[in-house]
Amino acid sequence: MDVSIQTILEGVSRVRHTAAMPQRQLKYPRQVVEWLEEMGQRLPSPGKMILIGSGGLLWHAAERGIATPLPENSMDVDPITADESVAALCYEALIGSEFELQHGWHVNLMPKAALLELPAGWENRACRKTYGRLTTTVPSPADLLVPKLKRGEPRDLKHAEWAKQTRLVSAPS
Amino acid sequence: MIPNYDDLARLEYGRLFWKNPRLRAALIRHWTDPRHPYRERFSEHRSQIEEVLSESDDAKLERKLRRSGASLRAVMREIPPVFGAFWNISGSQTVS
Repeated sequence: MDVSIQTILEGVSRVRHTAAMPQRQLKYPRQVVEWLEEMGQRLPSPGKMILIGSGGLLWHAAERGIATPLPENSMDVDPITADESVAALCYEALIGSEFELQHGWHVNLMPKAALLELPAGWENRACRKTYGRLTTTVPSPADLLVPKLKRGEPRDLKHAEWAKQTRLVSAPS
Repeated sequence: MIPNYDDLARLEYGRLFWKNPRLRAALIRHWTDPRHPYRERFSEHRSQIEEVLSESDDAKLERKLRRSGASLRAVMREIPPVFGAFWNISGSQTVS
């Protein structure tokens, strides 16, 4: 059984008896920060996560006061965590959850192997911020873009262009 | 070979939850729920899935699985997904 994302979508459709595609309404930097703030309040004990992907880029934008929406939006954030309580909260926001219905995007927990796609030394260039009981580590914008540019998919390239236009990263000279 | 992150994530977070009896029970309840489209498949592979989720030594696990003609990669792929529509830690009935 190939339990790929497609299989999950088909399963969601069968569960809901509707043509259920994941929503794609994650585009504003504040959406990510609001989610982190809520997580930080709800955690029963201190926990940590690493945030990669377009969610990480949106986080950096929020930190710099940038409100420019992400082009073509995103359907999820991609956190990585070894903390049970953090993961448990993330499970409440999976595809098909009430969280997705309310917010228009979901949480896609990633394995730690995804960090291998980041350039060596990414930890030294990462930013960290604590929201309540949640400490979030976010690789630098340039590091976050490396796997996106490697994939080279149209949406990834537009996100990379957005990062340049909003000056999260420098344009090549 | 590019890893399948979906498979790896189901293994990693499944193992994380498996350590906590309450979360382990929630996973089993979810995977055996009549609404879960893969509950029959889970039943067929349940013993191996539980073994993979319980064990953290992948080398030891791989040797053991190979002796029975299986592999960690194959069993990992059988770990069912969790559907947000009816995932529930507490065990109370959810409205989907």
